[in-house]
Amino acid sequence: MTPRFKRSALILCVATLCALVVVVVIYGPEIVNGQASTRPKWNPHRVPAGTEFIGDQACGECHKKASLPYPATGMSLAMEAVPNSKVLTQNPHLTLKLGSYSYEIKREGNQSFYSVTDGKNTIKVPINYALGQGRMGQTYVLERNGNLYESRVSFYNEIKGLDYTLGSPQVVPASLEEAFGRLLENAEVVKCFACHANGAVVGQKLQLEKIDHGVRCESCHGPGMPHIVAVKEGEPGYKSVFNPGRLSGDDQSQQFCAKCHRGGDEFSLLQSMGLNNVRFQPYRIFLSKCYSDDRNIRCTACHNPHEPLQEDTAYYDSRCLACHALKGQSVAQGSSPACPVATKDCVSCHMPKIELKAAHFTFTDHYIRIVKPGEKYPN
Amino acid sequence: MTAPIKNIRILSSLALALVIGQVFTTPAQTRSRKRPAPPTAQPTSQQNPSFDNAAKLAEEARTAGRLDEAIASYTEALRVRPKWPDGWWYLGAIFYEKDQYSQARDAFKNLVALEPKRGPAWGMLGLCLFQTREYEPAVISLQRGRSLGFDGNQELESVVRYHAALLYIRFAQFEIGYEILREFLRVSNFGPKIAEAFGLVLLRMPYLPNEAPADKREEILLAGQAGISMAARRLDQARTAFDSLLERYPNDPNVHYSYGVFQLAQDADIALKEFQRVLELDPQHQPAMVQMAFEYLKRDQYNDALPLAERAVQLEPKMYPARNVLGRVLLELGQVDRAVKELEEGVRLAPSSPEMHFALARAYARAGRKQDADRERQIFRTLQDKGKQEDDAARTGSAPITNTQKPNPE
Repeated sequence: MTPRFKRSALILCVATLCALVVVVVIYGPEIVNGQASTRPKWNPHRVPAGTEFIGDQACGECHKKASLPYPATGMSLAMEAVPNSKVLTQNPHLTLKLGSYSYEIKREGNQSFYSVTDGKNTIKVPINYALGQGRMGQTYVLERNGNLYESRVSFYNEIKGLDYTLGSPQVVPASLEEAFGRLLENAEVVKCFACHANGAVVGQKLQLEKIDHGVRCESCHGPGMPHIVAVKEGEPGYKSVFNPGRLSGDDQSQQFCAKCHRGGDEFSLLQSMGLNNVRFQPYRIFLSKCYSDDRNIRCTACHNPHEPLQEDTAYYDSRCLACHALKGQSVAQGSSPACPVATKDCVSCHMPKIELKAAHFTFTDHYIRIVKPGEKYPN
Repeated sequence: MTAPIKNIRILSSLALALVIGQVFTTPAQTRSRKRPAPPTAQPTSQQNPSFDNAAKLAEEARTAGRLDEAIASYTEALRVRPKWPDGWWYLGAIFYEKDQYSQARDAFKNLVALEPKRGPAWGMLGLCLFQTREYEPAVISLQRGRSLGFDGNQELESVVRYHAALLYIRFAQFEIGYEILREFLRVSNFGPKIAEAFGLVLLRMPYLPNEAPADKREEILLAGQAGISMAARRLDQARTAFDSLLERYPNDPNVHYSYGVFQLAQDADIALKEFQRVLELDPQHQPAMVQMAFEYLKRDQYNDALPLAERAVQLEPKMYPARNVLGRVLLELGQVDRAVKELEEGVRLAPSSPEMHFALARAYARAGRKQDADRERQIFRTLQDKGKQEDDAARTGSAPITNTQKPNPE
């Protein structure tokens, strides 16, 4: 071997190693071999005191591909500002009678008012916070005597009207106070606003005057200013911003997305909900036999959080087939077995639609399984 | 006998009178609807004259209130036909009425052996065992009765619930006791006994009411008011009650601990300060360490959580919540092997705890042990099937809550 060849081989090895290091650092998992990464971590439920947000517009200046379709997503619409609320403007007068209690949600100018009366006394307050995009429904957080309440009744799109708020007792309330709504403890309020808005909870304190409605870029990626400054100074952008897309499968599903969509960590509460827990996808998918730490089964393997939800079941086939062999094909090394009965529309059988009557909505059950005819809902 | 234990017995007797009253008049109402009619109700050609005669005499004596005579006749009838469920029920109930708890216990044991799905029988057996101070089997029987139900007998249900809560408190399983006591809040009126039990929970006093130190009574009752308001989510009232409690008993670590638990849902910063105060007053207060560690874990402050979780495990190595939090903190710190060990130990201590299997499944996944993770997730899934859990409890006589929460005696 000539010295020249030796030198070339050495250069090639070093270059390959360097490239490998760069690839691992940039695209590698957040946790490598169980060792915590030094990259920024972001917990949308624990925004540190003093955190400032810059808003979606600043992010959109560079990240056009992600930001352009985002406003149409369910997460973006997780809370509506009352003056511009589509649900409240399109449904300016909603009423419901529960026993001796009459409810009314009425639009007056740019404001909507929630009232309940027993015929003798009436509680009427302006609606300040409208949670939910209206695809399924919308619930209201109401302010009264310095406390916050969850409205006892909610709007449901399917009936274009009011009904009991999901999770509240489905019985006629015992008093006008009870009919009005459920007093929220501070921890619950923090959870509501941490998931449905940005900037409303900082340092575990409510700062509703700074609320940015819906899930915003910085809700998931953390404050943008350090990232912008770093990029302008020529530093690699990934170091100064959190990217949940780099989390391992289990971390993303059960630790990050589950912060709002709720996972197995809250098993006790979710189990007690029975059928109602179908709304909480991280919990349901954790129960699946095919669930693992693999990135092919994490939330973003099927859902692009920057784009509206894909309703076409065929869209998801390629995700299933990323692991499962096709019918008639032999199971390649590392692949999971093929479905013996079909080659497409996997989710239509293996992720059944569950109708939640109380929600006036049908949910996709994320507990991926072989559904047996007449089986009881596996809790 | 001290006043509190008398009161317990009065309460028990009152409920029992209602139970027996119902039984005397409408026996079928207290039984499982699926159970076939008792043999006495369907005379057949296989009838035994001596049994029929004894059963008839027993019923006459019972309805006439001649209890000694009824006992003799039931005993005779049961000697001839030992598989007569109603005979054991009536005999047990009469013994209980006469404060002959050992005999009552034996009668109900025979009954549950014949009809293991009869909730009221398990409830009565539990009450007998409570009176004979066989507390561990008592709580198992009471919980089994609760899981099977009492066929609409609300009085018996209430008494059983109360005694189950007392026993969990006595076993220092205050969180379970608190959850059971919370069920009383569905009823608008309940007496000071419930407040007293709530007080024992909040002050973490592992006593039956009659065993609590007399000089603590005032504090127990005041804590009870705070506990009721807290459980009922009457937040302003709870704050006022805690303010009084803290003002009068500023050096009781458990007062600060309870206030900290209350504040966890209101203002976690205040909660942490309260738990810190607990540790100043009692540096060995393990539950405060566990609470703080969980709160720091939530906040991603793993390095703050770690020493607390480690100390908590050191102090109470058989308490699985400490293992749970330590394992999870270690996992977040990237110490996967240690995390797995702690969580495996937690699973060994609490094999029926879904949260332990959930945490272990995630740790195995992180460690790249896919098959182990799959297995743990499968166990988690199975445990989540509530119906199955209840069936298991009914079959084995061990309430799932006991299995999950009690430290392993080994």
